[in-house]
Amino acid sequence: MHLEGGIIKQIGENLVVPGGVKVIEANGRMVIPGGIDVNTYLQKPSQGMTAADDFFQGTRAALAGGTTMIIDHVVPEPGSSLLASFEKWHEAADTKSCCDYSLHVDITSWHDGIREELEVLVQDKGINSFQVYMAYKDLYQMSDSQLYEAFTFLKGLGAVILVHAENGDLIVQGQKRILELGITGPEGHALSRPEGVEAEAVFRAITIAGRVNCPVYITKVMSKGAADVIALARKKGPLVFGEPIAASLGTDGTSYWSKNWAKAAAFVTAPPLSPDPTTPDHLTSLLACGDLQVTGSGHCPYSTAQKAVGKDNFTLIPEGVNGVEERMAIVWDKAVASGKMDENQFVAVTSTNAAKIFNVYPRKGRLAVGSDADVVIWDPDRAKTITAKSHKSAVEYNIFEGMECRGSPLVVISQGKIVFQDGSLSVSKGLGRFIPRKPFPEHLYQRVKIRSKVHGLHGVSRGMYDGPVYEVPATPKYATPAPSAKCSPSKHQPPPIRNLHQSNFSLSGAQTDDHNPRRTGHRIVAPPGGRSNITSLG
Amino acid sequence: MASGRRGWDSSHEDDLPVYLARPGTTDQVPRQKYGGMFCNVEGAYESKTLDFDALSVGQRGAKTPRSSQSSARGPGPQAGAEGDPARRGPGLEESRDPAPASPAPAGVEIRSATGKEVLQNLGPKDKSDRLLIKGGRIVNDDQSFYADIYMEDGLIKQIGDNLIVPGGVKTIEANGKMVIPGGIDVHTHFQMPYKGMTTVDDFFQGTKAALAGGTTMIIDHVVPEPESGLTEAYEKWREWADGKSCCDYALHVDITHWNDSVKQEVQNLIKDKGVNSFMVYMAYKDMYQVSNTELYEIFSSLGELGAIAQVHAENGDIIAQEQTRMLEMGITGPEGHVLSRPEELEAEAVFRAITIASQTNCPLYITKVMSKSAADLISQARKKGNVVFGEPITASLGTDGTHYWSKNWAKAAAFVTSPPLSPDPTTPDYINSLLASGDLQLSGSAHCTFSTAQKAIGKDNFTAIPEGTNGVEERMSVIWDKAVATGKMDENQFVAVTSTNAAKIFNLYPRKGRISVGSDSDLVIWDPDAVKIVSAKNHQSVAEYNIFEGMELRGAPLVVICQGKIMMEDGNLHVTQGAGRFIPCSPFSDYVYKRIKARRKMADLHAVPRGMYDGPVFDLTTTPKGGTPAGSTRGSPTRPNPPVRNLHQSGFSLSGTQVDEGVRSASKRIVAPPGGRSNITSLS
Repeated sequence: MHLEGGIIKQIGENLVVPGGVKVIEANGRMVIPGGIDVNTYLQKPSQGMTAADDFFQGTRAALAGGTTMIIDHVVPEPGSSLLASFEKWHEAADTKSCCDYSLHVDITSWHDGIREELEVLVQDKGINSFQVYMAYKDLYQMSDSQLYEAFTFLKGLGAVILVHAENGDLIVQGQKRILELGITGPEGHALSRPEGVEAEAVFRAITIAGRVNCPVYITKVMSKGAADVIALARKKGPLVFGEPIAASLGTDGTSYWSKNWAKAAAFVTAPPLSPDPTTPDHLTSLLACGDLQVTGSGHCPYSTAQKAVGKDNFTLIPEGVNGVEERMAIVWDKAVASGKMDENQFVAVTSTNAAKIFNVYPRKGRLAVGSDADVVIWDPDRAKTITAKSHKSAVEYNIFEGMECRGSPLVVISQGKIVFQDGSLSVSKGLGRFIPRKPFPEHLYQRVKIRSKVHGLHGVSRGMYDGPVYEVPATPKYATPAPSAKCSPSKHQPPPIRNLHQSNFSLSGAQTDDHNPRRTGHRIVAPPGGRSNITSLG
Repeated sequence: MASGRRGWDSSHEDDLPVYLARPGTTDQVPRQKYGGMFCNVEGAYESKTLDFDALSVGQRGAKTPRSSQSSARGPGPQAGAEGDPARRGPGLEESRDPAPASPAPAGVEIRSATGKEVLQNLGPKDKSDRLLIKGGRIVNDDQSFYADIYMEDGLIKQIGDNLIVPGGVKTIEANGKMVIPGGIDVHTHFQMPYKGMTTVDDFFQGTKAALAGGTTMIIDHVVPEPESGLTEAYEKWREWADGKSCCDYALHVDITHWNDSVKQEVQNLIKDKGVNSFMVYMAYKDMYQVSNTELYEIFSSLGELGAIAQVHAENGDIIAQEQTRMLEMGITGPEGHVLSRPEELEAEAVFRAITIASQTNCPLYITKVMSKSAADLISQARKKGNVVFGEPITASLGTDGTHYWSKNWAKAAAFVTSPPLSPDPTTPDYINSLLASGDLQLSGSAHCTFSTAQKAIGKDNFTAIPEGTNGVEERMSVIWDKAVATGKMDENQFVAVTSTNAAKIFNLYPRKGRISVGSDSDLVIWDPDAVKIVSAKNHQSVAEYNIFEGMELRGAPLVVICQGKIMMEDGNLHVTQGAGRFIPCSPFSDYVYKRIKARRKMADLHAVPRGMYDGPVFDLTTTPKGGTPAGSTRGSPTRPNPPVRNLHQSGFSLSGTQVDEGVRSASKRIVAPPGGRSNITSLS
């Protein structure tokens, strides 16, 4: 394989290469496309704090773990401009990032002005994925109607819709209840966000997406329930993608009950890790069989001091766990080394699928001539013990502390440069480029387009109904204080227009009959289809 | 099939006499003279405990000579007018009469008391106060057996063989037909006001139709206007129903809006008014719909009060959006109704309701299960342990939603109900299977009929079509035809889903839903072989359209007895307007709440006792690094107020941790104090 100018130039045996080439002897080791971490929050503000890892720390950690591209989340303040936030993130990442990156933009509030901003972002700024929140009531949360509108609009733009799926209403109620019970520690976080709440929101998101006929992508699949809902939905047809994160694949939520507050708090993320210890195994199996497609890390670590803001109230603990560095190794250890997944599927879930979904394929996610020279030489046998002492993140705690992982990168090449070799990093700040992404990824939208064609809806063309029409009496028969407030259950619509050509007299007959016993002779038969007035109903 | 069920009737003429065939009752109870018309029969309640060994169906398969004898006398159904004086009375004579007779096509014969007894009974109405059903095959939800039933004062007084009954008893010869507890229709909307209209079947018409179909009790929904009080609406419904209902009834109250005063009203209704079930709507945006938060609160308080939370499960928000879309596309006919309410939206709401109910540990009851996916979710949730019940209705069990595309507008509109019937024609079969397997538990009709003229209000806009289908009359026959006659369900399960389970869930059991001593004498003699064609021409409802039009249904009631009176025999109804009583339902139904109570005990949550965290705490008072314009407006994601600022700590002393932040400080790892260090507080 010959790399030049950040691009793969040739692949083959006995390549003819120019002089002055640095040669790496892979000695038969696996050479895989660099990992793509689809979910990081390297600059997420929370209650006036910023995640401990910035783009420099975060991408350094990513490279050390074999990930050569990250897609970070832009989290605008609700009400503030998406574009402004995007520019802020863009700038921060440009100056600090050590590897290529791209950005998701989170839609933290839905209002009319946002549509133009979204259009600009999609068409001019190279953003094709947006996240909506079903949780964080009164902050980010959207109602079902807003979700429907957002999905419809984003589908029109050809964007990928990411959903943070948790039922925010129920969480608020749960938190209230748990606090009333006097539970203030991190275990309250898990107790107030049981996995049913996650599964419910996933189900709802999929239902709405199914109605809109748009693809939907569930970020942070943390529980069996949610994963099962996704797997089932995929079998029924909706275009759903699920992204488990390093934390849900590598560990579980039993640590929320740890006696050590700092440890318990370090695991706080939303949706929470499931207290069911069989969850990681289940999720890896689904990942191996293709029911879940991509892996992220949800990397959003806060220092213990920052987490301690919530020491007396779990709802204040800033949410986020580490994982960008450990992601690839954890997937290898849990899935490939245990025989669930082969190495090709490993490449698919750590890199290729992400590239396809977010429309950077085959530039990323594949080793082919013309692709970016993001390459990892992977050593499947090397075992490494994860510990906060040696990790690249700035936080004091590593949720995978003490875990022994088989499989780790030997050499990491990003943009054609060796950035990691033999455990030593040589990165340069600000080298990472922003990778713009085009809308309408084929992987998602090909099917959507065909479905839209196939599922066209048509009315039934039938003759006009010209039988009697019940006249709603001017005064309702029963006394309600405000009859005018009554409207159609589903729409604010004026009642159907009264036919002024017909006198009340002629139609009131239908009313007097009402309480009479059966009158079979009077059966009103609608005109057979052919009678008259075939209109343009269809 | 039918002959198999009544095999004893046709093929065992040469069997042993009955007293030899039944070891349990060989020594006959010596007959006693009874004191008089109104005296208790001495010993009538002794030796009447069911001898299960003797009564099991197999042994009792030997035919009773008396019934064969009576069938010999009267083949075919006879109206009860002409009684045979010789045969009347507290007869054991008949069973002593060994004369075998040729098996006749079993009918039901009613013989009323004449002569002296009639004179003693003052009015013609009282005549049917005492009833004896002889030779019936009693089918309860748990077993079937042959026994006679004696009823008095609207109660079942005796069950057994060779009953000793007073004179003046009207006797019904069941001839081995099934005698089942009268059906309970758990979901009707009689006389419901809706947007200035009223459903065409009022409590008289509706209960008449119910009785004609073998249903002897209905539970109607009180639908208060969103602005008005629950109690007020309840009283209104009581007034209507008390004046008109022909059969016993109870009421559900719908919660159409939620606030503290409604909560108070709910409490009063449960305590004083005999209501134990409340329905909430997840659909009908801006009208009845309640939010998730309200659902949580409603479920929590209903769970505490011991009531049953019923849910109309559809996602109203999305429906509203879809309706707008359909109308924009120019689809205005009834097909738009089903297109804008696809079954996914029903399933979604069911899933959400189940989630919320399990969070609040409240029993959940899904009304109108109309689609496969909703039914599937209910059965899955039951497998996971949730206390959830599903009620399919006559329409979803008997027909499907393909008719929405009918060219005949009136026909298509007649099917409009919500959730809509599924356009998938395999749905009825599927739902019947789940009903048979117990994944769905009971059946209603959601009888809510509007005339075609009323439906026609929505002739140019499907969203204005008033929603509701008929079904109270057809319910029992539809289930028999679709489930029992096809072999999916046995007769006991039939009784369970049409009557017993409903009685259990709404805490009416065993007063209703069972044939046993002390139960109300609401029962039905069921003819599994009768074939009836459903048609609007001869149905009891006032509506011009019957959604089951032309359907041929096997199984029909022969005789319907309600409150101990014969309400229907041989197709003739004898109903009395206003005879129906309100049956109060008390809270904390055992069938539902035993489990809930046990779970409540188990579900105590405990905090983890740990030492106080005394490491450094990030100081929020310093200017945030993020440099967002409005730092002060940012609160915790879940709580609007920022945490209280600790005024004892200066900004200076803590800013040290911030300087560290950019650089890894592995050596400075802040380890929280191990549990034992200090300050074990009263956290738990």
